[in-house]
Formats: sequence, C-alpha cells, structure tokens
Amino acid sequence: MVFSSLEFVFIFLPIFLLVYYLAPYNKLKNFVIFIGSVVFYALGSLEYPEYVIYFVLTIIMNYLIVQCMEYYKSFKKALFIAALIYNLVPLIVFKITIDTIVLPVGISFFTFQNLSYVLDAYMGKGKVEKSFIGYGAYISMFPQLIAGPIITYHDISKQLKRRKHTVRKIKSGLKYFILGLGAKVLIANRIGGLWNDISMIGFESISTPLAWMGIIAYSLQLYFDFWGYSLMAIGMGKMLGFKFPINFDAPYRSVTMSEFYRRWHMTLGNWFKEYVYFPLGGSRGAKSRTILNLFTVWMLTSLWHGIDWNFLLWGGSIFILISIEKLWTGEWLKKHRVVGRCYVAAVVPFMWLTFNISDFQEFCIYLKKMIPIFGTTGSVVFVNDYLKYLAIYWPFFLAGFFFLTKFSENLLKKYHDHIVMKLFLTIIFSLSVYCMYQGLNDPFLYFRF
Amino acid sequence: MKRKHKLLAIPILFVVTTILLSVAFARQVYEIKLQEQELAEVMKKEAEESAKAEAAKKAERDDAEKNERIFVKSDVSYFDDALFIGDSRIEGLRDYGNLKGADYFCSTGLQIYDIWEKTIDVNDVGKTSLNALIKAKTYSKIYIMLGINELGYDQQKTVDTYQAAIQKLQSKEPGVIVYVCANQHVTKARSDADELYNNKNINSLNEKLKSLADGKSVYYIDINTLFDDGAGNLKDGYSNDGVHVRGIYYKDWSTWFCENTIKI
Repeated sequence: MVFSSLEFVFIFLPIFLLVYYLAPYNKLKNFVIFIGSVVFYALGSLEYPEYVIYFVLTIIMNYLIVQCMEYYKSFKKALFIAALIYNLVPLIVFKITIDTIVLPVGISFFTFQNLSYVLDAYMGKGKVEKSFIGYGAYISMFPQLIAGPIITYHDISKQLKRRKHTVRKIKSGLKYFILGLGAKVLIANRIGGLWNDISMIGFESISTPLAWMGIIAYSLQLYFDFWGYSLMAIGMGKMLGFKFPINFDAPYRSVTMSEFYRRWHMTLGNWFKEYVYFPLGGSRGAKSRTILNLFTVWMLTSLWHGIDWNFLLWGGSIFILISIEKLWTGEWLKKHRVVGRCYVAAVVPFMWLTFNISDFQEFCIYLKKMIPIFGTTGSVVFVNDYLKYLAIYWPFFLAGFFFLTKFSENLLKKYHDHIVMKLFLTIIFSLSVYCMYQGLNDPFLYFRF
Repeated sequence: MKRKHKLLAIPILFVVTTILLSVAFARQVYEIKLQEQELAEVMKKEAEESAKAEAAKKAERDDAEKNERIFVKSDVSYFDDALFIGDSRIEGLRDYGNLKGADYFCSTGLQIYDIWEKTIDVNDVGKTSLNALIKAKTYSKIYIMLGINELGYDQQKTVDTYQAAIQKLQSKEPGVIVYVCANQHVTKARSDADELYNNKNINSLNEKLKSLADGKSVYYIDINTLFDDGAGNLKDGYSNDGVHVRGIYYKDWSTWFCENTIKI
C-alpha cells in the first residue's frame, strides 16, 4: 500500500491514528505502532505471506541476538557474525534473483535498520533496547518502513521511551504530509509521464532536445518522488510524536558531487559513513587509504541499490568524481560556486541515465541522442517533437524547478503559520486527492490512448 | 524467557528462516514454471485457431475483393486530400509516419462520442472543431480509427454512433470515401493483464465496425494484418507499452496505408 493512495489516506491512516491516540500510555502506543505496522506490511504483501513472517522473524532474531550479546560476552563476536550472515545473505540473494523472485517490500530498508541496531550494540554505542515491543516498533514503524528515511537505533532510542504528543506537532506533521503528498502526486507522478511517453516512442526516434527534456524530467521525478515520500514519512513521524532525521536537503543546489551525496538520501549516506567509512578509518589516514575507503563505500552503495551493471556504473562514476574532488577540484569548486552549480547540473542528468536504463543497448542509444557527436542510431522523423511535449509538460517543469529554488523554501518558511499556507495546503491536498481519484496518480493506470 | 532459552532460540530461528525463505523461493519458481507451461499450451492452441481463422478470413477477403473494387497501391500524394480522425495511435502516425500531406484531427483519448464537440489543433489550420474543419477544407478520403478508448461503453452504442458520424461526414463531404480502420491489437502481455483493453474486446468491436462497410463509399481496412504475431496479438518488441507501436514502425503503417487504397 503506497502513501499516495486513497486507501491509505482515507482508511488506513485515520483508523491507525485513532487507535494510536486512544492508547493511554507510551508502551501501549508502541504496541499499536508495532501491530499496526505489521498489518500495514501484510496489506502490501498479501500474495506473499511468507515475507510477512520473514519480516517479523528478522525483528525477533535481531532482538534476541543483541540480548544474548549482552549476556554472553564471550560469544559476542560469534553472535555478531551470525547476525551479519542472517541479515545480509537473504538481502544479497534477493538482489541477485530480482528478475525472477519478487523482493520482500522494504527489505533494503529494514535490513539496514536491523543491522544498525546490531552494529550499535557490537560497537557499544548507546544502550540496548530492553523491550521487545519497543524494538518491534522501531523496526516496523510504517511511516519509514518501505522507503526510509533509514533511522539508526541510537537516533530514536530515547524517543521510543518518552515522547510528547502535542496538537502543534500533529499540525506540523500534517503540513509535512500534505507537502510530501503534493510533491509525489502533483509533480513526480505527472512529470513522470514524459518518460513513459518517450519509452513508448522508442529512444531511437526522439530528437536531441527531447532526449534532454526526458532525462531532466526523470531527474525531477526521481527527486520529488523520493523527497515527497520522505516528507510524508517525517510528517507521520511527527504525528506519532517522533522526530525523524531529514533525508533530503536541496541536493540539486550542491556545488560538488560529494556535497550532492551528503544532501541526497542523507540517511543512507550517513549509514554507510557511520558503519563502513568511519570504522575503515574515514579520511584520517593517507590519501590512498581514503580513496580505498571511498571505493568500498560506493561499491556497497551500488550493490544496495541493485546488483546490475548500471548500478555499478552509477556508483563507480560517482566514486571517480568524488575522488577527483577530494584530491584536486573540490576546494576550488566550493569557492567558485557558479561553476560548481553548473558542474553538478551537467553531471546529474548523465548520472540518472545510468541509474534509469538497465539495458545496455538502449542506454547507448539514449546517450547518443543526448550527445549526437558520437553518431546517432535511428532517424528523427518528428523534428519538433520536443515542442509537442513542452506544450503538455511545461507546468510540471515550472513547478518542479520552482520548488528546487531557495526562494520557494524561504517562502514556505516565511508563511509557515499564515492563513495563506493553510489555503495553499488545502489546494494541494484537494488537487492530490482529485488526481489519486482520477487514477492520474499512477501513470500505468492512466487509461487513455 | 530464560537467557539460555534465548540463546537456544537463535539457531532454531536460523533454521526456521532458511526453511521459510526456501519455501517462498520454491513456490515462486514453481508458479513461474507453471505459468510458462500454461502459456505454451495456450499459445499453441491460439496459433492453431488463428491459422484456421486466418485461412477462412483470407478466403472471405478474396471473395470480397473479387466482388468489390480492389484495394490498390497509391503513392503518398493520394493522402494530400485525406483526413485522419483518431486517438493517440493516429497521433503517432501524424508525428512519425510519412503521410505528411494529410490532415489529422486526433488527440489522446479521443472518442467517437465527442468528435463533434472537441476542438483540436490541426497542422496548418490551427485549433478547430471537426465541423469547421470540413467546412473550410474539402476531403475526398476520410480515415477513422477510433474505438479502443470506447471499450468501456456498450459496443452496439459505439457502432451506432460511428454510423451516425459516417453519415454526417458523407452529407457534408459528398462523394467522400470513408475508411473505417480496425482498431490495432495490443500485445499479448497487455491483453492478458487487462480486463477491458484486451484483444477479445477489440476483436468484438472490430467485427461490428466491419459491418459498417458497404463496399461503395465505406471501406473497412485492418491494420492488424501488418503487425500481428500470428496469434491475434500485436507482435512483442514492436511496442514498449503494449498499446502503441514504437515511433519507427509508423513508416510501415504509412506504407501499408498506401498499399490499401481505393482508386477514385
């Protein structure tokens, strides 16, 4: 069940919140989160009941392993290795067999949260969770279960025991939720239509301007989709009294690629930093050592996204760019911000191209369309195709670019409690509901030929 | 739960999880195999049936062609005074085909029910209604390919509306030849996954549309002879979304239109 669906917004969420607020004390509230989230998970995996059991088993198992690590100090290492095998082997196997076997929903996310708990315990960071219900609530918590943000255990352990529920938090949470819903439904899903159109035509028939428009549209779609989802998660977290870490911090306004990845899917980057990069020595040692550590982190990040050549190419190119920045250009780019911005703006479309097209031949065709000096494949019959699609999609490009700017961010901050904001949110919500109702929400449900 | 029991539970859970995931894998692999087998059988059956149907159709067509005026090949200038009315697939023909001399009154989602109400941007003419368009220009051939967006409606009602539209067009453009184009099939994958937009419904509508042809001024032409896979589906690989052919194949569409014209 996705957040941007009518069933979720009008059935699951209200019922859940009602039960949650009626629960009189914290422990019971955590219990409601745990049970409610397992129900949420089960609703999304109706065809695969094994995966629902697997999901619950991973919670029980990691909880037990960490408890035993506390009791039996001499087995600590053995238990730790057992936990690594238990969590990572299924993840790797699922990623390898992704073409034939359906992936359990959210496995990449809940595996990493489980691991963060085990790693915290092994490295002696923070206290171990005594309550099974508390641990279950932390891992399963539905707002972040299927698409993050990835929350480390020590980020949230105190809030699990004590947190306040205020009307102010609920109102603020609602605001985040609606803004996220709008980003996903009104911008990401709509502008995503252009990529569908281009795929329908076939890459070999599109013009160079349309190729650029398409990949820019995809870059906007990816950002507003993921950012919107994270905002919705943070908003629902607030409604439950939690403070989740932010996951995006205007990444497209970065001046270097290393900055970009500090501001894009931040909780994943932080996870790797904390549990891989720093333990390996980070950037404290020799330069060659730093580069090796970076390489390890980026290869693992690629594999986390999927075991396929295009993700390796994606992670590999980012590793190379970040290494170059670390060794030579980074400092200069930070001082020359305009150049830095242009550099990031030039890299981003190519980066998402590798991310998006997993068929090598199609990838090459698209690349040649973007840069025709390499020679072209196919012919362009419809030379002005981009004008046709610009006429359809310009409002979404405009809205997308507007919400990338600092100006829009300041505007939202300035009027955060103003009547204008309430009006704005009401309009966003109504339009989103309208689009979800019309099935415009899901490009694949858009049955007009 | 005692500490010892907790420790003991770990290997047990390990085994349970392994078994559970193995079951999940085995079940999925088994289901895929089963599906493949079923698919192969269905394909075989369908191929046999369609071969029979194809032979019958061909005989029928041969007869019809003997009796009526025969379709001949023309060059693209034939379309200089032609008008296409259609949905997104005709839009594809307009954008990626070779028949540049023709006018196209088409838009995504266009239905036979609203052709008289809609205003559409037509090349060279600008935004216009169909009424105004045929008043301003004279066409001696009008091609209509509509119907897939109307599959949700009662089919007889759709066909009646089609007929009324043809009559109206004929009254406004005396002597015009109307080509009723069969709706192009969708791919097998798409057809199987869709309760409404599938080839069974498309065939049923096409059969009814065929009856509109009178062999004098209204002709029925079937593009599916060009792109079918032999089992009554749009050939895999010709389409990325299962409904529209890729841009490059509209050239073949154009050629096919040239090969299936009526000499005036």
